[in-house]
Parts: sequence; C-alpha cells; structure tokens
Amino acid sequence: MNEILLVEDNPDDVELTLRAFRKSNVANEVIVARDGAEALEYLFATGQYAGRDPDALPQVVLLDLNLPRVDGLEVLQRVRAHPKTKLLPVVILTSSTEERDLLSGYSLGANSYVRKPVDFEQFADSVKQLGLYWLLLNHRAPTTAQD
Amino acid sequence: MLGRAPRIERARVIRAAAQEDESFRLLFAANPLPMWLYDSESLQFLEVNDAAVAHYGYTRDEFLQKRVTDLHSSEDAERPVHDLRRAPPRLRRWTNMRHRTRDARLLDVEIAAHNLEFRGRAAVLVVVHDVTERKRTEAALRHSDARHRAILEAALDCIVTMDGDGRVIEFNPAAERTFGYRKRDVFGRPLADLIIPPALRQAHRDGLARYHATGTHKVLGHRIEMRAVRSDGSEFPVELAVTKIPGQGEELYTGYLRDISERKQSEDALRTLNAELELRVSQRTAELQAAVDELEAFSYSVSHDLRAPLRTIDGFSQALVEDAGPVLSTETRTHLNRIRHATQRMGQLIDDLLQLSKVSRGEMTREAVDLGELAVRIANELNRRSGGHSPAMTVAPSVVAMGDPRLLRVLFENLLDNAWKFTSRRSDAQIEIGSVGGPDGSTIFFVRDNGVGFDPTYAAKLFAPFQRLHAVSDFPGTGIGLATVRRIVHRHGGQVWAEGTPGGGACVSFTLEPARARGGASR
Repeated sequence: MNEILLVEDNPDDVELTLRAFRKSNVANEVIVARDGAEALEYLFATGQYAGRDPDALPQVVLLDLNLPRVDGLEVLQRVRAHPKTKLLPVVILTSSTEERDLLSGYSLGANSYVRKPVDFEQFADSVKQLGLYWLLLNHRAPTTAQD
Repeated sequence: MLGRAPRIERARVIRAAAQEDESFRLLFAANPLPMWLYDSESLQFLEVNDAAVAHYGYTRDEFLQKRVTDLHSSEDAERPVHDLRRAPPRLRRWTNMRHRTRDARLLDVEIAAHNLEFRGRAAVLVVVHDVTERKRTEAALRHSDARHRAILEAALDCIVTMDGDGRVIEFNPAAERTFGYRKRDVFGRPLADLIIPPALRQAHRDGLARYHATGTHKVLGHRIEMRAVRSDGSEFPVELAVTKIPGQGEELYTGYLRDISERKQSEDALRTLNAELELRVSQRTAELQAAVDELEAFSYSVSHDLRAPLRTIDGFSQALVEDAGPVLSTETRTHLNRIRHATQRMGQLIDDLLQLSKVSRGEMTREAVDLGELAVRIANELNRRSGGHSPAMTVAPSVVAMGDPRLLRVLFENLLDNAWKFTSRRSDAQIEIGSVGGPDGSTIFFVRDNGVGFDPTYAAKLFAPFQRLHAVSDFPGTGIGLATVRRIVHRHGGQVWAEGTPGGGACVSFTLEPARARGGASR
C-alpha cells in the first residue's frame, strides 16, 4: 500500500533513483513503469496489471516527462481526469527546466516539480526530500473521495 | 417765281428759327450728349455745346478755330469727310469712329449727323455717342472668351458641359480625343447616350430627374469614380467632378473627366504586388517559425537528452567512490573525482548554453526596471552563495532602464556573478553600479569592479561564446556569461563593451536602446 510508482524510461536514472532512496532509508516498495502506457496500466489495473487491486494506489507517483508511447504530461492528464486518481500525489521529476513544461505540468495539476540535477549528490538530496515530504509529511487524501 | 420762292422759304425758316431759337438753344446747349454744328463747305465748327466742351477738353473758342477733321484720330485723318452737301436732309449714322481729345486721349464714338441750314449756311448737326467704355467692356469680354476658349482647348482633362436637359453644349478637344467623338457630332445630343455606359444610363436619367424634382443629388461637388464609354463602345474608368454654372435663364453643368485607366492599372499592379509581398512575407514567416520551432525542439532535446548521460556518469562514479572507496587507490579516487567534475562542468555548460538560447527567444516587453534594486537582490543571493566573499557594492540613485525585466535580470546575474568571481581574491573588493549620459543622449549603464581585470588586447573577444581570459582553475566559468549579456543587450538594440587592465579591475558598459543619429544625420 505504501509503494512508490516511478515512471522512468532511463534504466540508469531508475538505478540511481533507487540507490538514492536506499541511501535515504526510504524503504517503500518502488514499482517502476518504463513508459506512460505501463504507468497507466498499473494505476488503472489494466493490461499486464489486470490482476491488481484497482483500489490500491501508490503513495506517490514520480513522473518523468519524456517517455515513450504515452508521455508524462498525458499520464498526468489521464490521472487527473479519473475520479479515482484525481487526488493522487504526482511529482514531476525531469531534466527539463523549460518554462512550457513547468507551466503545463502545474496547470495539469502536478503537486510538485523537481529538476534532476547532474550532480548525483544533489539528485540524491532531492529524492530524499521527496521521500520525506510525500511519504512522511503529506497526508494523502482519502481514496474514497469520489464525487 | 423761281427767284422768289427761296427767299420766301428762307424768311420762313429764319422766322421759325427765331421763334424757336430759345428752345433750340436749350435742346442743344443743355443736351448731355456732346453736339456741334459745322459748316458743310469749310468743315469749320459753327457751334458746340457744353457737353462737347466738357468731353473733349477744348474751350468753345478753341472749337470754333478748328475744323471738324481736326478731331479725327490720325488713323481716321485720311478718311474722306462725308460730303453731305448734296445729300437729302436725313439722319445718318457712322460707327467705329475715333476722336482725339485735347489731352490726346482717343475716344471711340458713334456719330449721328443731320444736314441743315444754320445761320444761312449749309451745316451739319452732329450728336456724338461716346462708346469707349462699351468697346472696352466688349474687348474685355472677347479676351475673357478667348482665355476661356484657350483653357478649354488646352486642358488635359475632358471638359464637357451640358444644359439642364442633359444635352451637350461644350465638348473640348481632350474630350474629343478621349471619347472619340467630334464636338460638332455631339452638340445638342443627350450626354447620357454618348459617354455613359448603357448599363448606367437609366441611373443617370433617374438622377437627373430626381435632381430636377427635388434638388437632391449625389454628384455635384464630389470627386467620383465611374465607368465611361468611348464611341467605339469600349469602357474605361474615369474620375469625375461636376460643377453647376449659373447662367442666364438656365443652369449649366460642367463635368471635368479624367481617364484613370493607367492609374487603375497601377493601383491593380500595386495591389497584386502587395498581395504577392504579403504572401512572400507569410511564407518567410512560416519558414522562420519552422526554424524557430526546430531550434526550440533542439534546445528541449539538449536540455533533456544531453543531461541524462551526464547524470549516469556522475551518479555511478559517485556510487563507485562510495561502494569501493576503501579498496580504491588515492589516484583512482582522484580520477573518479575528475570524471565527476568534468560531467558537472558539462552540465553547467549545457545549462548556460540553454540560457543563451533562451534569451534569444521569447516575447520581449519594455517596461521601467529599477536596475539598482535588481542588483541589490542579486547581490544578496551571491553573498549567500559565495562563502564569505561579500564586496562593498555602491549603487547610484535611480538607475532605471526601459527593458525586459526577465532578460535584464539574467544580464545582471551574469555581470554581478563575474564581478563577484573576479574580486574574490580581494578583501577590499568594490563593485559600483551606475549610469552616465552618452554622447548621443542615450543612457550608458555600467558595472565596475576592482578585481583582477583583463588584458585590454582581448577586450573584444570577451563577448564571444566560450571565450575565457582566465584559466578555469583560477576562476571557474563556462565563457558564456558575457555572450549572454551581449545577446540581451542586442535584443534591446543597444551596445556593450568592456574596459580593463590586468590587476586594475574591469568595467562593463552597455546601452539598452539603438544609437541615436547625431545632429539629425541623414538616412
């Protein structure tokens, strides 16, 4: 129930992110989706995740923007459009600092926007803060809040 | 019988004259027209009236010394005097005569003359009608007519006059040339049937009828454009102005028409040209937009894809140091640190390049920006980051520029970052921000420091991307900061330059508006 969904197509970034979580003592299970389509299948329990409990949602979604098949902004749009997932915490985690990405990310309802720095220590720091904030400090909205 | 009869006759005349002497004198002397009597034989004046004296300037005595031919102008001098001696007594008139006055003025006169007997002599009674003024008026009228005619003949525009019924009464040579009619062929014909295209004739007649009925019109006093037709049926565009000319009895209407085919063609050509230009501009704009879009896609891709491998290199180098640290030699650890520094430096280069490309893109606004306040905000940030190095900063009061706030912020971030960097070895570091008036009236802003300065030989190279005048080991940097500054200044239409000496500090100056032409230079 307390897993983190990491949507990231770059295996190096996946590995470094997982390493950063380990270093920060974030013990939550991390589910990795390699593209936007896989992320949506996981969240809505379809496709390869058809057997999953559709009501079980991750604690937080860390979402890269540049993804194969379905890109990050579209994933965010679909997540916000669905009553079940519209309050799910989504953090955009990307190397882009383009204003248009920031703007569309926030206007589509991203909860936070974190730039991946080149410096691994900074990266680890960002991930650590993300973990602390979203996993410990932020009380998730109840999943039953459907209208 | 024969001998007495004249005597009796004469006696009767004299008696009658005596009786009517007073009234005759009154009729003669008080007559407002100049009158005189002269002797048929000698042509000598016998009597003149007061009006003649007043009109000709001679006294009565002077008149009586003269012969009637003395009054004739030199051109009339040779004309034979009309011999009325044997003519039957009746009134005669002569026109076109000219008399000379005492002060040598020439008078145009008409003469009425009657032969009679006066004081027993055959005499001629003359009444003078001075027509000088009338002749002058007539001549003036003739001149005016000639002028009018000359204008009509020489006018480049067609001048067509019609009467109240719309019939042609004037058709000048330009009209003949333009419409292909002779004046004598169109005189008196309805104008509508000649030069107005068939399709418009009814409207013309209706308009004329409406004008006659109600006095309303759409034509008089306006410059209008319409179609006209030539005698061969071909149509062409004309420009037309119609004026009403008040005449005696009826009013006349004169139209001034000009063939504007060529102008219309030019206008059409211009319109076509404009449309083509418009099209070309939009094509170029589309091409430019495509280029800009491509550049943006490139930058976006650079921002994402070039950084990812750097993160991998840096991240796993760090992982290696952390995981295998104890078994690595010092040298190996140094190598790994070099790898990490290089990747971080490359990350910085990518970021700076992206910023350089960002300042060239995007909308620009111009508003008043308080550069002093901006500099202080950035200085506070730099002081926080620079680990204890905090130069004394002097900002002149009210350094305000018109420019894009976002770009000016980037500009000052770069300039102040340099100033902080190059003064970092001085404990008495000073940075001054101010503005001075330029020779052309524009404002020159400057950022001056007392840092390490630079060799002025290379001053021009400072602003090219990747140009560095110091070793990275001495002062870190990517060499893109001043290139970014220059691009921002250029986007505002200004100029930027740097002055400095090694060890003597540096001063970067810039303007934010195009140079003004001095003394109203021509261009």
